Amino acid sequence: MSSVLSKLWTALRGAANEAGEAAVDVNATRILDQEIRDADNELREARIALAGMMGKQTVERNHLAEKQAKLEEYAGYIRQTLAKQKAAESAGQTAEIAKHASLAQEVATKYAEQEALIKASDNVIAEYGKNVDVLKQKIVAGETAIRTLKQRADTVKAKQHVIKASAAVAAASSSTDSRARNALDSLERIEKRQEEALAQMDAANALSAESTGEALEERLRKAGVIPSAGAASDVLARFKSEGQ
Amino acid sequence: MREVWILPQHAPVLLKVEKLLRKPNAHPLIHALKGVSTAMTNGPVTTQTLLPDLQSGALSASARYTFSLVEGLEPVIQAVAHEHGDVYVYIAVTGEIAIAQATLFPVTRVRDTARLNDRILRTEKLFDLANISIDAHPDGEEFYVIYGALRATSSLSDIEFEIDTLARNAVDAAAAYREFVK
Repeated sequence: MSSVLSKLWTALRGAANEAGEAAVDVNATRILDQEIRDADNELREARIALAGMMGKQTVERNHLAEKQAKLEEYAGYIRQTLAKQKAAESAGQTAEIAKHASLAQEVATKYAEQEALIKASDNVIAEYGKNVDVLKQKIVAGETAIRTLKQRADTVKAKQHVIKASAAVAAASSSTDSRARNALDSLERIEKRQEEALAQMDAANALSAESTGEALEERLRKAGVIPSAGAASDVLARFKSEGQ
Repeated sequence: MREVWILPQHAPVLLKVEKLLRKPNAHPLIHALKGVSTAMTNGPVTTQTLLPDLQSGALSASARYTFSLVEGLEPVIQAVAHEHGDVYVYIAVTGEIAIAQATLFPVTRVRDTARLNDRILRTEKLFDLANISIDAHPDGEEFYVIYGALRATSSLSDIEFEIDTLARNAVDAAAAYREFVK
């Protein structure tokens, strides 16, 4: 994985030195795709190697079983020749004793050889087992690495799609609309709406204050501070009295 | 009474399901199976399959968002966040990843990018579920963008939550970094 990242950083430095930083994304996609292909190939090879190794292990296990059967066979012969040797000893047959003793010796040599072969076979199987474990670990690690690489590649690609779409929308939008609507514009739009809402609230407050004012006027009229409707009749009475 | 056709090796599972379905209250199983049937009928999530889900989802129903498709070689969903100053959030699904992204402002409008970048590195953690990066349009113009990534197989409500969080974060980030923009 670190090799992937170091390639990406190299691409990043290269692009930074060149004019277009957009090359970073393109390079990242290219490098990641190549890494995924390589990792896929490695994984396929590891799976083939694992199948081969497990096959060899099975074959060796079969050989081992054959060798163990042979060992059992030799063990039977040894027991038989030893028994016959013993019988010859109690019968006092010297020639028979020597014959069976030499046979027992011969089979015992074979038995020892077979034991050595079995031990070697055990070692081979254990060695294959280690290789199988290593390959299995390699496969799991490879699968994880591929998943991670694919997620990175998917993220970079999804971002590229999004960027292209937003650029297309910006290019298609009318000149009155902002060229590429961004969060800053939206923030300003929200603040404008809030200002308008505040202005509306102010207006509403002023209105309600006016209405409170009317109520006050009414109260003052009632208290006689402001001339009430009753004052009109007084005025009229005064004018009428002028004519008298 | 019903005949059921299954593979013989699945018989033990069917037996368990049958026993559960005999109970009057089989809600947990039915709930679990709904997830299975969704996965079976929908297949892989793509930008195209996500759009109708979003259009019939909670964000559309409450009229807080409008979703549409930006046609192109790689179609992308455009979400207009009416509660967040009509900010555009773009959503794309590629493989296993779904991305929601909003543009903050063009790099050319930043007075001092070094100072802004420093501020962003120190404050980005405040914007939950979001990352900030610089992306270039095909014409080479660069923008600060805010985005969130999640698994394409996430539930609709998780994706909606991501979109709504991103829209809010985009406006909040614009407010937080405005002092660096001319």
